Amino acid sequence: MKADRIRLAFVILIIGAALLALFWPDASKTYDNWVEGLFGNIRLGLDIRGGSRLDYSLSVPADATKPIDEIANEVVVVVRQRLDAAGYTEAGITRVGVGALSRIRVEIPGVDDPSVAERLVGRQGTLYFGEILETEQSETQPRPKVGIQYRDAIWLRSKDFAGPATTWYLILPYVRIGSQRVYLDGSKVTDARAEVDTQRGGFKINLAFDREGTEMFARITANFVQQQLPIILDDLVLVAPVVQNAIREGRAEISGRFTGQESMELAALIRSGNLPAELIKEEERTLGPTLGMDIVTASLIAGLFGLIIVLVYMVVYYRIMGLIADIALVYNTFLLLGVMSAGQFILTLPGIAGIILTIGTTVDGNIIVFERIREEMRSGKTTLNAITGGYAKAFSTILDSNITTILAAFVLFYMGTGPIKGFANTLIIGVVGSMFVTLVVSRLLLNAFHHKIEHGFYAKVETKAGGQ
Amino acid sequence: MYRLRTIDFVGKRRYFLILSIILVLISLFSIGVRGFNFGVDFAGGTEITLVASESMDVSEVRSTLSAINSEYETAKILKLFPMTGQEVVVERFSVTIPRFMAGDEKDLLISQLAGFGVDSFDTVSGLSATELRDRSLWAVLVTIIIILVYIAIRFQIAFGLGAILSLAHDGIITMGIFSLFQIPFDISVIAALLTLLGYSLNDTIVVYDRIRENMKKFQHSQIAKTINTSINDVLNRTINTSLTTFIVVFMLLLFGGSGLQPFAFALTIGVIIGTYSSIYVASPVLIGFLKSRR
Repeated sequence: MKADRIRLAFVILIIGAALLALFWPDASKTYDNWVEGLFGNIRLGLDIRGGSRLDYSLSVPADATKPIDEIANEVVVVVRQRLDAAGYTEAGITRVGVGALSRIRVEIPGVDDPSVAERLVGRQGTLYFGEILETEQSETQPRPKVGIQYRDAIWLRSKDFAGPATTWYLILPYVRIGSQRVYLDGSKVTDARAEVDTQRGGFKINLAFDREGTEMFARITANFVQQQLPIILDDLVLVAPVVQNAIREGRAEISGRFTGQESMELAALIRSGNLPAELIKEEERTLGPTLGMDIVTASLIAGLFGLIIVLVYMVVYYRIMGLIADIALVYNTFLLLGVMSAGQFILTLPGIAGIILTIGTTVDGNIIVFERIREEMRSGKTTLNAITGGYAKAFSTILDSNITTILAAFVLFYMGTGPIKGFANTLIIGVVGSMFVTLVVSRLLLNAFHHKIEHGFYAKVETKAGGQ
Repeated sequence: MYRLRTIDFVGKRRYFLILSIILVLISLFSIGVRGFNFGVDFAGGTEITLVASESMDVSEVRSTLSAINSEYETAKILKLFPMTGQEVVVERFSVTIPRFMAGDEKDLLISQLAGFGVDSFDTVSGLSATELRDRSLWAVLVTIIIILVYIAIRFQIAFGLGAILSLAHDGIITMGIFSLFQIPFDISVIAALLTLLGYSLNDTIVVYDRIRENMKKFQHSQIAKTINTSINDVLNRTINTSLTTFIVVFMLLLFGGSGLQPFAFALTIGVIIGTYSSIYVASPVLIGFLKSRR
């Protein structure tokens, strides 16, 4: 059958790609044990692999009105939002100690590069639109200017201060319109997203303002046509574009030819808002697995043991068809792991729960089909016709049962936090995979080995069901 | 034609519905009155940094702790390493006990940990259980609506209601068991709960699919018979799927070690309840829903 040959090529191609993604050796890593070595391309979560721990103490501004405990809780929320926005959904953020001794603890899976997280956690995240009074090229900070109009002004560098001489801007932290001072800052930004800059290359950040911000921005841009309007984040001038015309839609664009990583981090910082206190790094450590290696090893062995029993059970109960289900199950497991390594998803204990559910749905899909095929055989069809008929009838069952699961998983993915997202990830990949293996891989094998399927054995009515 | 012996599942539905209602009520009562025994993930506790003079691993620290007090066996224990380059001179462990300690209790524990040096002693916050609850509530509501709409389109609205009812049944009873026996409730239990809901939903839809198919063959007045036949039709599948899933999670419960026990326990209970509910809850309630529509 020609259709089957195309299917076969497809099936081999997919698993080949998955295995490649899973087992392609990464020479830059070293592994502590066989578990990590074998699945080295899968990013493991804090609970399984461990990671980095960063402890910060709080430096609360002197004019703070709230109690320090409240500020510390706010810091936890902001840091959580930042790390979530930058894709570190598996990071753990907790508060250690009470009162003035409060510390913020950030735990990040993997030890590859805590510096990214560090950049996100430690920064103040203060964004505002200012006014440029003067510009100067210099290696060091220019002297402060004297004069009434310079009273609030400060010298700030451009964000690209790689070269020896950089541009310094004398910035007012507000915009003057007539005699009025307009403060447009990050609190009026409702959204910030990193996007590809199709005009200038690199990445840009799109800002959206709230109602008040939209109005302010329209007034400012109307008054600053053909003048520079700098955007400042954490005392660095991100970009100082020349205003072309008044912008009334409440959207601004920061197009500083950022790299993808840079733009994503900046967008995350702007979106999550200011930190209510300054964070000072106190301690940095590498962590063992939070679950403990003893638990991880034990659970892996237990999982494998259970899997083997299932494989054996299927062969005993369904013979050649059971073997086909086993192949489908192993196929889907490697497919899932391959997609996880290719997509750089983080595997945690909840993720393992998702894998267990995937094993369940894969076996289930096959059992549903096999039972239908047996019914078809009992009604007198030949093996090949029974396979076709069985699939025709089982299709709606498999579709409906899996689609409801996928729908639920999508809700969890979009609404859940941290570990729940991880669970939803594996579940979506696994259930889509299980539909594929049941409908394509198993079918291919059943068609190919239909002459090996003993019609009499499968058509027989179960003794336990008491046939008459 | 062959004939299978038919087991009368729906005939006894009253007794099982009463049983289910009692279980749900007990669960709700326990959740309301006793609440949950939140693990260190949620509740926070006391973090102690221990310094060991000799080489040790996590399981040895765990056994030392459980020798002092069996309550400490569920402590979260991490090995700490210096950041880079530095040589490991002493081994450090971070031990978090799901209790808040101070004063005499603290001094007692330090004296009991004679073999170790104690580097620091701190209270740590847990993940905010209320925040997680609020977010989860929204997620659950949205999920329910989406599933209802999907099932209403593919089946009938009555099937959607039945599926949601049986999901609620499973979720409440499993949480009730965690509350009743005060089994530590941590993040992994949430994952297990979600897993079992996915599993139970899957199970229910398979039975419903057969009911949908058989409803075309039987007359509407024979709704109870249709449903009973459908349950019997898919019984082989139900048993085999439940058994294989049960094997995997039960192995995890038996050999997964103490740290994974709450997780594996929730899954094991969930498979049993999920299977029970798709036969005795989801399908029989359909009879009521479908009849009342006429």
